[in-house]
Amino acid sequence: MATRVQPQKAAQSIALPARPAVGSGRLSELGAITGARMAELALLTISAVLLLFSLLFPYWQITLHAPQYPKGLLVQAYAYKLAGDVSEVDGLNHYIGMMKLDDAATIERQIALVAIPIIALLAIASFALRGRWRMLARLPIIIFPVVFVLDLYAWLYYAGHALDPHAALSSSIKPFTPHILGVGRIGQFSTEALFERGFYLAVIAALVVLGLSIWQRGEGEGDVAR
Amino acid sequence: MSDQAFKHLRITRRGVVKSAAAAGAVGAVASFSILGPGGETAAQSEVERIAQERGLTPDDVNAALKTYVPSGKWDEYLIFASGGHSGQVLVFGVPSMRLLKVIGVFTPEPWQGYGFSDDTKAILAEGMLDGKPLTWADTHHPGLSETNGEYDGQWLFINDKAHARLAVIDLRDFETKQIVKNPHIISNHGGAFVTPNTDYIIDGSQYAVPFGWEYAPLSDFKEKYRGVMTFWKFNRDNGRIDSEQSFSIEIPPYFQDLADAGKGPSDGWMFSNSFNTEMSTGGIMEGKPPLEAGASLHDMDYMSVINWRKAAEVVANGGAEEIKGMQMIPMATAVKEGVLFQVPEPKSPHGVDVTPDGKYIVVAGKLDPHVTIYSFEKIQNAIAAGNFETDEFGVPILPFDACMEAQVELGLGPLHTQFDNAGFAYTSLFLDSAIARWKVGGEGVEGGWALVDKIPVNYNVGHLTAVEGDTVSPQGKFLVGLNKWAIDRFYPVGPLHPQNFQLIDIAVGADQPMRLLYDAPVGIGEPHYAQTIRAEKIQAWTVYPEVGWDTVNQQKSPIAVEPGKEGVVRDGNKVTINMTSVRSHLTPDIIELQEGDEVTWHITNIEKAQDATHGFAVPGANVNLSIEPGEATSLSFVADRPGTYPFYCTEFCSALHLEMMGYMLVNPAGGGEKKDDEKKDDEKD
Repeated sequence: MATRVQPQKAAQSIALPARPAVGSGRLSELGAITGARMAELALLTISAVLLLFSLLFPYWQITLHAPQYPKGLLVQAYAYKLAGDVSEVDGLNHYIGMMKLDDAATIERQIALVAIPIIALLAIASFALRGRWRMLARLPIIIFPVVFVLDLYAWLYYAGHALDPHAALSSSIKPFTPHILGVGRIGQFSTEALFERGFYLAVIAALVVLGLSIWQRGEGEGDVAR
Repeated sequence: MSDQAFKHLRITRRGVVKSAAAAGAVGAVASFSILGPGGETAAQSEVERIAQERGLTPDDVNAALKTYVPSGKWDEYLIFASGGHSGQVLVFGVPSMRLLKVIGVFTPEPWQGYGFSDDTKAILAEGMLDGKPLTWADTHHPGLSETNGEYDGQWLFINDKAHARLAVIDLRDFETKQIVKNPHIISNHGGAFVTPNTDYIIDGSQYAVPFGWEYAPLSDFKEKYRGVMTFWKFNRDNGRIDSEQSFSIEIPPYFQDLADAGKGPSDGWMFSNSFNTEMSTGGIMEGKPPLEAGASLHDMDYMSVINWRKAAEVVANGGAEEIKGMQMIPMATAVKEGVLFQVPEPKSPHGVDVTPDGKYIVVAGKLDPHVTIYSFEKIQNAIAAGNFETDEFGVPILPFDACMEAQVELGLGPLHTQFDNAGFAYTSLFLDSAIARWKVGGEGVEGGWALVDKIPVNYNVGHLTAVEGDTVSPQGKFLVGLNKWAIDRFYPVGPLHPQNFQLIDIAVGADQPMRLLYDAPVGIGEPHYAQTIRAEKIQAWTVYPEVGWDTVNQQKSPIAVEPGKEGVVRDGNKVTINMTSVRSHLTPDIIELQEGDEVTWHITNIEKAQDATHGFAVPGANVNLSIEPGEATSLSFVADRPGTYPFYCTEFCSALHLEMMGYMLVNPAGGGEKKDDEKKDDEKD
């Protein structure tokens, strides 16, 4: 939560030196511009770093509980890999004909290690861009968490609906979508899904850039940039 | 999985919930009555009602409270007991006395697949006698590995009295890894006792025979028959006994009995008592006294006192001879080098046990109602003084009075002694069917060397085990008497009665008597010795560290089969099957063979989940394997009878366990099916 306050604080510190600058002498105007620009660069860099940092943490996880697994089974989805009891869950899933977890979102996970740094770099590069181009460069970092959630949901839907009709329990299973958030139930398993640290870091990065963009628009800083 | 998929389970669950709710209601009533005003009486009356209904005395209720271990809770201590004639090791929990495991050691154990897989067959083959397989053993004395005289929870050794063998068990997976056969002797008893850092495992002979149990007439007993004390070198790095570094010492042909290693001040020495210094060989039919009488004529037998560290030096300096492929220090050399001495002891004693501080050696009288306590210091002084006689083999006999510290009269038939953490010793009294508690004496101890308390046991107690009661730091609290007879303790199950392990509370202190807590029937073999260790000292694996694990060498196996690489490889009539097992299928599941094929079947359980063990049976091949999660194992056989053989998983692994099977088809030699089979092989290639 403390980190979420940061953009507002930063925005204030930009605003303070900026105000007396309006309609003042040339030198002080230059100084104000530099200060605001420095703050912008700092915020963009922080967001980019947060996004890169998010690679170190899982984005989403699901825990499966059943009597014969007293400690539960945990699957963690990082932006670029899966971790936890993947093979065990795969083993169980084969009874209902569900695809192997590692076969899901393979392209997304493969490109994540390249795409995420590019998204972060674009956010920083937006510092040197203006108008529509600047917004375009920032868009990926802003919408990234949303895209992640939509993609995850799509894969969960697909996995729960593209069941192998020849699986051992296929005759007694109806297509379903595992819960993306909260408590669900699959067979003797109760599931508990939640978003994890990596995702929240990406959300913060998105919010910072979004906040910065909104603030800049509100200040009509299009002029300042010119 | 949908709910419908497990409708039947759901119904069961509902039933469980119902009964749980009922139990909850009872629990709630009980807890209310405990918490609420005047509740104590209600709770009390509930307990009283149950006790009355079941005919339990207040002592019974106390014993129940001290021993009951609720579901999901673990025992505080583990007992490793010999499985006697079963050739196995038994593991019990204390205080619950629940049997946790039976470890296959010298005997094939089908559930564990022990002696059926190629690698465990090889272990049993190490214990063959002159190339003949043995399928039983007389396991007597388990010995946990020690570091600085304390159990370290890493290894367990056990002897086979019947064939003079010794086995090594790895406590990471509770499985036997090695069996060694003593080349010098045919029966042992003074093993397995470890030196304080497990440098050596002591293995003393029992019945004298010529070296290598070669033939010699009994009339040559004095000349050709010998006792032997063997020191097996244990290599912790690879977890194996190293026969090359092991050695024996030739000693007189008296029947050696139990043994113990010195510790603390007596470290470097070991003690073994003996009987039949009369060298009787029986001969009932020839009118000679039976051995039991002939071996009991002398008032005194001799405790062997051996400087094993010195003996190791003698071997290192080339003072030993190679006999039957292993180093042996001749008796004359052992005497000359100051390795071997004897101290008289009241005739035909049984246990010899070194006190935790290593200062005293306690010899239990068996036929003498005393324990005789020797001072190690006095023994050393007597050796230094040098005025001793020798027996007819030239072995020095130290003066009894010069070495003896004290004798404590305990009762009839003292056999074995254990120690606690409060300065007491506990000695089993076989004839009295009792256990005696007595105070260990010594410098600054008041009222030492005196009997304190006795508790009757049921019946004919042999060994006894107190928690870490033979180490440098006994833990007290519990003691188990290993009773040979149960007579009326259990519901009759035929003339062969179970053995009776009796749990005794020794935590109450000297001012209170010992209390009997629980009888545990043992229906597998006749346990002799047992050791009790704090459970937390043993950190066994719950699954093997990696999938594809060689469980004998504890490393990744070269024959591990990876998923996706399964198949059948044929080379002439040699067929290698690479199979994986996972809930709930075996891959491949159809095996085509030709009559006479020599089959090597590699199976890897690719599971990682705790307890997801798969069994594997091929009817006709006399094979059952236990393939624990991650384990890679093999079996070999010749497909000598054409036929149709369904193979299957023998460990109920999953809801679709019964479906976990496949067919092995053995085509008759010269049969038309051969072409199909070859076609299939070609396809695979």
